[in-house]
Amino acid sequence: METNNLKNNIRKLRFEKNEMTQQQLADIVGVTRQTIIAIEQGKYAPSLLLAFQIAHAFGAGIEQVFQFTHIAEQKGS
Amino acid sequence: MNRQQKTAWFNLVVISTALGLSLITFCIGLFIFDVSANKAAAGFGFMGIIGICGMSPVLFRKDKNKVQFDERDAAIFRKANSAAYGIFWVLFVAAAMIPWFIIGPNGTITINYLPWMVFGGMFVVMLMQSIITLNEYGWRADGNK
Repeated sequence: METNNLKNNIRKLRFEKNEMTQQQLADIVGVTRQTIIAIEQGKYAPSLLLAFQIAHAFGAGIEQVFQFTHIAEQKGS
Repeated sequence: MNRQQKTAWFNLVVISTALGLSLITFCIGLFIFDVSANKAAAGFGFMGIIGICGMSPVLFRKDKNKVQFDERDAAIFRKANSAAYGIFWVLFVAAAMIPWFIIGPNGTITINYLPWMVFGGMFVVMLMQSIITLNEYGWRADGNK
């Protein structure tokens, strides 16, 4: 069985960026605050374009904002 | 709570009210006034209340200064629509086929059955769209599960 997991540092980066609010980030990237909340909590995987926009908003690379982990579990292990 | 959630809640409340009033009136007619099921079915006239759902675009207007609909909203909208129409299609086919099996190919059904199939289909689509939309956003006001 395989599981894909997308983690992110948005919350941490927001606080490092002058304690940017979720609404401010949402306004910059052109989505709703609910979407930022869902992404932060890992409940929604953003499109590639939105992921790049979020990274751009922090002046960071996409891999600094999002981390992808691919876990391959073998049967019986 | 965003516009889609408000619309879904509004539709759900209107549909529930219409269904509740219809069933209550039907039961009162059938069990209290002891009229025939055909006459008691007049209570289902309350289903017309569902027409109020058409008011939702007027009641919940777009705020031009804010982002109202983004890629996540679009994904939820697509999911709710495809699930609702999927369920509708299964029920519609069942409603068309079941009488065939019960009364046979040469049997007859009342003409009332056809508009009720269409109306029932619309009812199922709106109900399922609302439920799936609210479930996807989360039932809480902030829109998170």
